[in-house]
Amino acid sequence: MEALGIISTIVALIQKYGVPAALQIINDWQVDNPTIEDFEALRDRVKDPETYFEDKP
Amino acid sequence: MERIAEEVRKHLVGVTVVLLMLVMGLAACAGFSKDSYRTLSVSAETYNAAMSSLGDLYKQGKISEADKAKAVELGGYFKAAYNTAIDANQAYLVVKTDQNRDKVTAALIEYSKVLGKVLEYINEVIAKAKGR
Repeated sequence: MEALGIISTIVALIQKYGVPAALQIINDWQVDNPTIEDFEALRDRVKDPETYFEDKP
Repeated sequence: MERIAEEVRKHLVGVTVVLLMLVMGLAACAGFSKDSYRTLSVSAETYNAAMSSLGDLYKQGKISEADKAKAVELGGYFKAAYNTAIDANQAYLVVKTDQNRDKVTAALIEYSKVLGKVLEYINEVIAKAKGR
């Protein structure tokens, strides 16, 4: 039953965020003792807001 | 992407509430940095999904320049609050004092408020773009 719960959580994450982001979240949740470097890596996750709107046809 | 936008919109309130609960619960948690790290990780992906959806609608010509400019402005506030929360967490990992812990909590509370504002605005713009 626990495996079913995990699978349904993973499916929900993929539906909500897409595969790459869901995998990233799953990886992050496996970090038990985050280091300064782990937090530093989070910094690159958020792009400059302008970049989301680039390449308008 | 439209489906993700719809999901983001539908779960907007839930995401914000969960984040606030996580922030408020942090002080009582044994794994303070772990929970803080997870909070930032999940919320960053939420923000990315929401902004990407907005960006896609903009590229389809469904969002005005004014709405885009406002989203970029709010995104700038979000990024600043996000980086402040990361800085506070890193400082706490270097020196684990109650004061630094309080700074992390304060930074995360501020961060969750900014995230709430950004997501609320994105929700409004997406609804407007879809004629709702």
